Amino acid sequence: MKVTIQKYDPAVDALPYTKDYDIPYTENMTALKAILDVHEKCEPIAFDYSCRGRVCGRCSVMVNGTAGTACTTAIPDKAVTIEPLRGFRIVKDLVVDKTEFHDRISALELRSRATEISYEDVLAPVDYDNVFMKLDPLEWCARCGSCQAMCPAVHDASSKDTYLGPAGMIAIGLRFFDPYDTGDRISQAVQEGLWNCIMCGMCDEVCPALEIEHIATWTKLREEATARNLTQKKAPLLPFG
Amino acid sequence: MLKRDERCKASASQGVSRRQFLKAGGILTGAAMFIGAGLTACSNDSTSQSSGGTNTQANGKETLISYSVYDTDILIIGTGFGGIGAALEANAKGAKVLMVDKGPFEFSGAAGMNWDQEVTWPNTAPEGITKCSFNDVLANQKLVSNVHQFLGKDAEAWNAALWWVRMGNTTWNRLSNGNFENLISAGSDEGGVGAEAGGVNLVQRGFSRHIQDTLKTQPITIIDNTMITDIFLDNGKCVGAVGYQVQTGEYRVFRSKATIATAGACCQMYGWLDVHPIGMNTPDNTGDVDAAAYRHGVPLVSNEFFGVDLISVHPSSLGASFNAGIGADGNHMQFVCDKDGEFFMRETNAYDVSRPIRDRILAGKGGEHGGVFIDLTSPEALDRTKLRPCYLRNVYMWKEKFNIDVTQSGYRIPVSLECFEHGGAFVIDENCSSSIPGLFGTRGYGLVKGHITQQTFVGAFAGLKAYEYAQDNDVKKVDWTAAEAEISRIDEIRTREVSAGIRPFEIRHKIQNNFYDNWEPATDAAKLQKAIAELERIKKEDLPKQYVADKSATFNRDWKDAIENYNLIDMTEATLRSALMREESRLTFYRTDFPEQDDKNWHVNIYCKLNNGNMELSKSEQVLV
Ligand SMILES: Cc1cc2nc3c(=O)[nH]c(=O)nc-3n(C[C@H](O)[C@H](O)[C@H](O)COP(=O)(O)OP(=O)(O)OC[C@H]3O[C@@H](n4cnc5c(N)ncnc54)[C@H](O)[C@@H]3O)c2cc1C
Ligand code: SF4
Ligand code: SF4
Ligand code: FES
Repeated sequence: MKVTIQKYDPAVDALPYTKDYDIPYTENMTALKAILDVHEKCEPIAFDYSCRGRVCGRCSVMVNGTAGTACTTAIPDKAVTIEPLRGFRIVKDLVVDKTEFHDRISALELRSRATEISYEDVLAPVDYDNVFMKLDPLEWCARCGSCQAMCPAVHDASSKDTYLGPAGMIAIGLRFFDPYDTGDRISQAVQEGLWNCIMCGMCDEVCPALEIEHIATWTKLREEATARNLTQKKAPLLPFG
Repeated sequence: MLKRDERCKASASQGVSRRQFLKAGGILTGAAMFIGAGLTACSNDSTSQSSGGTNTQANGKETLISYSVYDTDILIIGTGFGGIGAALEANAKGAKVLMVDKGPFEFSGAAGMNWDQEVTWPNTAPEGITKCSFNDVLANQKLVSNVHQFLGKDAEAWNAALWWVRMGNTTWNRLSNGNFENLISAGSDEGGVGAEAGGVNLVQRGFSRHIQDTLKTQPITIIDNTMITDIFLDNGKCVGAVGYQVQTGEYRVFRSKATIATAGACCQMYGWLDVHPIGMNTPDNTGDVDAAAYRHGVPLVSNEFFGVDLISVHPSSLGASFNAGIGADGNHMQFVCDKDGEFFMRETNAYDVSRPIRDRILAGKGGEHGGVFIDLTSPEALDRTKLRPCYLRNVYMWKEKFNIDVTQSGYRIPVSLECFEHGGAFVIDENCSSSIPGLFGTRGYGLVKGHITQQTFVGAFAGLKAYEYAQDNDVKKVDWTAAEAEISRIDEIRTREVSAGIRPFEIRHKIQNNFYDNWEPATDAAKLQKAIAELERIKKEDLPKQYVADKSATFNRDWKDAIENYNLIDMTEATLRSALMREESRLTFYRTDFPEQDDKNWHVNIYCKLNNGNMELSKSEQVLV
């Protein structure tokens, strides 16, 4: 099968370029396996991974234009093109730098609460359907950045600086459902562009954590925001230009 | 976009004078990292000395090498649970703490994997050390007792479930009525916890990202994507560590008053399956710092012991991954079956589940893949109280992404024992100190397998001991020669030219297959001797021919693999030799020529020490209180 990989060493190359490789297809092949095969059988490729199971979020790439974790992206026995994750600085070939993306989510996702949590709080029952089962899926976000890479509201020039993006919004949603969080997560979501998302559903389509329901989460946050009359889109940071 | 460590850098080295190393000015002294703030306060240490006039030879040509120096009170190698515990404790005491990790922070190590971790803790502060949750059969009882005292008698200090929530975790797993689910662990008799209390508390659904997020709120400097390749010794003392930034190739020297090495368990010798060894641990843990300490004369211990669990080995592209695979661990054995479909694990209540599984395989009841099976075709199997949620989610993922329906009648999932932890580590004493002053560790006290709570507790204790040591240890004036020699060593590995060379991954796979084929499902003297002979051959014939195909210093996998191979070989040799010496079977360690546990002769640790270029083994009595 033909695998096309985007290569780029910023220390040497003026621009990224692509190269074609020929490797045998194997049953249930993942994009990670294809990259590794090229690396071992053709020539060195810079790529990165750790968990092989969509939980470390380290291996995400674009496969035929769609973002996903390479380790769990099944590829067909046809030509595939693998490129670095869109929207991130390329370190080399398929390795990108997600530090700032991650730091921003970390900061948003810190719990907001004034009083210390007691063990009684930890043991207290939790509403299973409306809290636990809504919260549980969101925990599986690996911060892989696949949704971020595909989100039109993040990348469209007209809305670029108005929307935090789906991965960060999931973090806010998680704290919204967290029974121990007392922050005003609805205001936060609106401030971060809850209404700037165009509800296209692309994030749901590419997310490797299949249990996360992005659109359903946005809808819930929007309902709460509407009930509080917080229905404004976020404006661009510069009022001109 | 700047990396977080570049932000903190006061100066970077540029032009270099000939025949010497250029040491860039002191980089930072425990600068705080503020999330969201663009720039971080950095202090420029203008007192840094110029380097000695060492030069390096590569390809017969003089090479000019520069490196950057980072200063701190406490250096912590590894941002996993051991590192987190150590960092929080040393930071709370007021020390300047710098953590360094090989991978991108929060994407690396077990703590950088976002799955529903199981967390254990005793109900109350245990009365005696045999009942505390980080004890183990061969553990140094003085260390365990010290950690016990450090934690104290307050039940809250031991309550890992509470600590996790306070560190940002949300709720632990819930039953469908909304109640807190506490799975009491089996096997409280064997060095486990709280026999009187009916076992150890065990909850599921810890997501360690929250803990690392909270760590980032502290004034602790985190330097990631930086691989430590050696500890830095001066006058017999550890004064830091040496390594390089894997994304840029920049050499880095960390100077510290005390160093805690907690760089995880080396499981990379455990075979090879498409994209990874048959082990769920992270590819970054290649025993680098353990092997470095070993090369400086610190013995390695517990090498022959692994923590093992069952995990699917098909589809092989998912690489024995915990998180894309379907498996069974101690509490979830009821769907494990042999090739005849017999659910043989339902009858056993063995604490160590690996033995009955291996016996089944040895009895010819395993599958062609060399392991056993999991059968999830009964509807009750898909209940999250019966199948661990992290496996259950993969039933759906396999169906959706790979069109594999494991619930289909007659389907059996091939599973094998994979290693998630390796005991092998450099030896530490009752104060977490190695035999090199200034070098502390969190693992080498004779434990057989590690877990999260244990690593956090022992890590925190190591943080305290390192802090105390740092109080009266001055490293203002150090001799940089040893650091420069190490930089020369790793530079030579990248630039080496050899005809008919062997790429590092080829050598890696030879080490892995040689080990695994002679280890699972059980080993014996003949297999071990064969494996040692082949390893010796790899060392003698292949390793000198190892070459890095891509000479670039920017994110170079071959280079990283090549450096790691030296460490992996030492760790593998220690494992095989210790196994050959230990003429018994114990817990997960299984020799068919000595199938019984022999407490009379073998209730001891085995130390592997480097002496005149040879690995020497000795028995070491368990340290008792
Ligand atoms: C998939 C999986 C599931 C597990 N499930 C459980 C569970 O549910 N409950 C439980 O109690 N235990 C579990 N364990 C075991 C537990 O996670 C580990 O015992 C514990 O996390 C180990 O912590 P650590 O700090 O020693 O190592 P790690 O978390 O592995 O951290 C080591 C760090 O060191 C870094 N490093 C390695 N080499 C270098 C170097 N040369 N230079 C710089 N940095 C380096 C690595 O990048 C890594 O971040 C599991 C382990 C795995 C792998
Ligand atoms: S639904 Fe919203 S968040 Fe998701 S990809 Fe579309 S615009 Fe982005
Ligand atoms: S929501 Fe899904 S796609 Fe987005 S970062 Fe999280 S795991 Fe990745
Ligand atoms: S390797 Fe961890 S998400 Fe792919």
